[in-house]
Amino acid sequence: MTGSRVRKCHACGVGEVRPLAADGRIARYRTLATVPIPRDLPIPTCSNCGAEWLDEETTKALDEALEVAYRAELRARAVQSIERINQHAAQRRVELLLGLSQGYLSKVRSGARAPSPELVSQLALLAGDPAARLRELEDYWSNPPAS
Amino acid sequence: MKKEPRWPLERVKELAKARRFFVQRTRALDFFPSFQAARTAVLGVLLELEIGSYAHTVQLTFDMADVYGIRVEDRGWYLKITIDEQVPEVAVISFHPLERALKTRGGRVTP
Repeated sequence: MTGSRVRKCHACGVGEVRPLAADGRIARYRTLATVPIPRDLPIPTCSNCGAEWLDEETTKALDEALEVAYRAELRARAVQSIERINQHAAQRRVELLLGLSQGYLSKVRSGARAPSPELVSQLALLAGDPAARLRELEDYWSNPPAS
Repeated sequence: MKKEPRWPLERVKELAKARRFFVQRTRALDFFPSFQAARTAVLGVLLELEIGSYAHTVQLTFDMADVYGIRVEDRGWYLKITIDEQVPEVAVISFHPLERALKTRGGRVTP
């Protein structure tokens, strides 16, 4: 199967579906509601109604491109949160509370480590109110769980 | 006499098995973490289609499309497909959670 062939559009029945590269397209991908689709990535698109159709080849190319953009966005968000948290606490303390190895957050900041969406979520929650959230986390790990 | 799908299930499955299916990109695909995950889900549904899930056939502008109501993990899903024999491939026009109950040959499928 190839994404380069011309097909008729089964959504409108009128247009032809041809690979089209365009600006301004977005997609939901994993945890992110909007990830930009690279402008040079062709997606079979109807010339009449604009419906986009995904075959195996396009699906693979789309996910690969979105994964790259997604990883970059995760890192950017992690770095932003770390910098905000660092204004309120030593990085090592944060690493200890999150169960991370020493220097892990520095590696995330430098790009040597790719943060998981779980870590980015935790950092985002901490960055919302670093002083309060870190205190809660200290208390949580210092005491037995409330029954 | 019960209505039959316009597109024989054997042919649908044959094309699906050969990965010859084309999925319209709609917001419904947002239910999946990635496009590959959505495609895998569509493939699974096409391969498991049964006559009991057939609801009716609709006339499109130039095509006929078969509508199915399927249960996937305790949720009812709506599937509308046609076959383009010129390619050949299955065109998946709609695949999304049901918005209202759908009467199929095997009974009502609820959202």
